Amino acid sequence: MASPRHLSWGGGGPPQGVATPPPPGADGGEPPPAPGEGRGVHEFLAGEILPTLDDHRLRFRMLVALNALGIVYRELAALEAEDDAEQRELAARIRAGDVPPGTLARVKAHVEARLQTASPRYLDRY
Amino acid sequence: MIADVREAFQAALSEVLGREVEISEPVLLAGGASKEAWAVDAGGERLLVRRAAVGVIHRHTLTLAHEFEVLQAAFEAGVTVPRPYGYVPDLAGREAFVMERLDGETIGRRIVQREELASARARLPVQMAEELARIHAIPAARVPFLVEARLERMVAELDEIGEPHPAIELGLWWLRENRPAPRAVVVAHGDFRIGNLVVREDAGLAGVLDWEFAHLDDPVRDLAFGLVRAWRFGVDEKRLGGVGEVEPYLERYNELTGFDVSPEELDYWELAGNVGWAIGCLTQAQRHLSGLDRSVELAILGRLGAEVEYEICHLLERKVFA
Repeated sequence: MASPRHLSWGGGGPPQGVATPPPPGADGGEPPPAPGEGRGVHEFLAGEILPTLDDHRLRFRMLVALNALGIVYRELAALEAEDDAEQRELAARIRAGDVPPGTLARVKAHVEARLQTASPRYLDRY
Repeated sequence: MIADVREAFQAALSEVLGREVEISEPVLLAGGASKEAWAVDAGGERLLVRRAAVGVIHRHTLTLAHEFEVLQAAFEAGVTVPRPYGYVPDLAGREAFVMERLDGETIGRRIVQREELASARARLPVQMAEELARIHAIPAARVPFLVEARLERMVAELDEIGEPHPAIELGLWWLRENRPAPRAVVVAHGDFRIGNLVVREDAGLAGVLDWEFAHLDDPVRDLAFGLVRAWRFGVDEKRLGGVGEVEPYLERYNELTGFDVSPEELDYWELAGNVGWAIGCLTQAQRHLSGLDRSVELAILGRLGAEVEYEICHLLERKVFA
């Protein structure tokens, strides 16, 4: 993955002479391939926020940020999809009433792992 | 606002109020993906126009015509609701209804956390119980279009999502295995939680809003929905919507209805509320993923559903497998 320093000039705009192409989707083009939430974020930023930015510096930095998101999305798209066969089997067994001891602990551990990505601070509330 | 839409508002509000009125510039309020809410003054009345949004169709919610009828029935039954003024079948191309615009706080997080609302919060448990008792006394014959919601519907909704969620399955399994004796169904609000109340410093509970999920149901399901942790807005130790304790709420409700609801029954339906909301999060996310209703808020709900699944595990661990 590209490090953040490759995605930002850290100042108010590009170095002299450097042109940044508009991100896909920012000005009517197709957004980059992205997982569901990513597509929502991209559409929100490109479609609802970008058009409201009159400040040239902020507009430029938003375009850079959208380009960075595009890179992340493409990298995510290249990853192997998570195999959910085990979860499907577990869900089917519970539906059928097959709930042996240890089922809750197993289920909870999986939810906790998902929360570590989706909302890690939430776990502090318990 | 486009001139012809403003004209449509003026004509509709004159019709509803029964006289020619001048209107203020209608202001579209923030929030509400499925319905628009417009604040407008007309003929000295402070009004709120609830209008269908473009292309948004929710399953299991009432039409605006039916929602207005339920609001009328609640008003007649003495529930603290905005005064209903009239239904408008066509307001610039979409259906709408007009009701009183109440003063007060409607943002759940502020209701739960703002210092100046501390005394209002102290009154809410008893007031909420009193409102629910009035709601549950609305004659079902007054709103004959309401349908009964069954727990089984949650299974069908989960199946439609098409993803494996063992935590939700475990919650559904426990609910199937431990269902309390059924009670006679009543008119239920269907979404009775802090975020659907108007709260004022001087009055406490000043209005019950958002009747689109009204249906017929076990009264305890409605009573327990406000206990769901997601509606406590970070004040987790206060089990009743982040504002208070359950005991005075349950005691007052039982006193008014004579239903004699037990704490264990409330626990059961609290779990059911969490299971329903976990499925709700996934369903909302599907609306975004399918392209039906593109929104970053809906998109993120799918991931935050894991929080509700964790709460399901927590409740099962504490109350069931303890």
